Amino acid sequence: MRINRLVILSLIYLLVYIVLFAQFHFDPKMLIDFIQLDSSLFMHTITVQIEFIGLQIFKFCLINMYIDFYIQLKEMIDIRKGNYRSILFKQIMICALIIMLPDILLIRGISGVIRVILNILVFTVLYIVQLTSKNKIVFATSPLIYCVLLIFINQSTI
Amino acid sequence: MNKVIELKNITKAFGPNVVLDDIDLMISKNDVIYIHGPNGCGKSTLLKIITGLLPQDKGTLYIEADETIGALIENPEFSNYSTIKENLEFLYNLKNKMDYKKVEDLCNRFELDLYDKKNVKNYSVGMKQKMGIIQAIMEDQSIILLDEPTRGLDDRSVIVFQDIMQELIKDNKTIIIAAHDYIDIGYNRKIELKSGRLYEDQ
Repeated sequence: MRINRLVILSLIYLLVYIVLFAQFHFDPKMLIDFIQLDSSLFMHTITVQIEFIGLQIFKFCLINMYIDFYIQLKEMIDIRKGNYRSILFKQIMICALIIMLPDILLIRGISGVIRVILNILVFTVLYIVQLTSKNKIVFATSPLIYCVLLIFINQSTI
Repeated sequence: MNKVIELKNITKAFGPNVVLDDIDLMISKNDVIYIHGPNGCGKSTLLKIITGLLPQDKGTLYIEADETIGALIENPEFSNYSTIKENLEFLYNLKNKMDYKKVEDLCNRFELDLYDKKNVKNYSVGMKQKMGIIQAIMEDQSIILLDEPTRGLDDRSVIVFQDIMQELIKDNKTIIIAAHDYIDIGYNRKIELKSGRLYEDQ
């Protein structure tokens, strides 16, 4: 069942957050600050910078592991006249919502809502660009562009 | 004569290489067609155009609206990090609810286990080929297109394949097989594809 795979990947994602939470001595405020890091990221230690950028790259990798199933079956979906794009978009949206769950749970006020909506939009668009582009440079830089845009979103919605 | 597929003036080229050159082909219901020709003559391209996987450069393609197509084109690609059941279940459930008994029976005939916990990544080329044949026929499709279906199959599996094809012919399916190895399943038409043109054997 595909749902099993989704649960496993969600648990892996949860585990990453538990490790981060432990690293911040189980202080929720520190975890929230980390998730919502803005340009002040560059005043933190190199470890924090790597962790923040690494987390964004990890989000892309995790979705790739799940979406790969549909990509490999594309030809057979097309033969059956299935709507490949719609299937893929639905799965990407489900993944994006799961990936953004920590952000959704931490929503504070209107600016928080705007932040999450922008975050989901940017993430989805960049993931689709990464998926549809056959250019290796685009593939490699999409998570980094997301990282920069996320910092910008966090900065402008404080 | 009940026409199910018609190709008119179909042309397809890859750069300067014209693979299909203004071909016409009419396929009637219950036809069992063998398309043969040397490697690279355009057999796969022709099947890909019929399935809609590849657009033609020129010409028109007609497929009867009520017909459903099942196809095995070249090396079948499955999700490698999923099981055989996950792959077949997803494909079947795109349009219908999976008939587990029927698919399990097809798998057993090809000595595959539908409930195998191993990922498809660990399957051999022959096992993936069997999966490809199963997915092409499991949904009771009315038109079946198979490209080199016996590639990588052992002798026993080839006999199973022949038996299944004969059952499908009895069920009045339209079958088109493109291959350069001839395996007799009781074709009523044989067509040679040579230099981009079709020549029907008399």
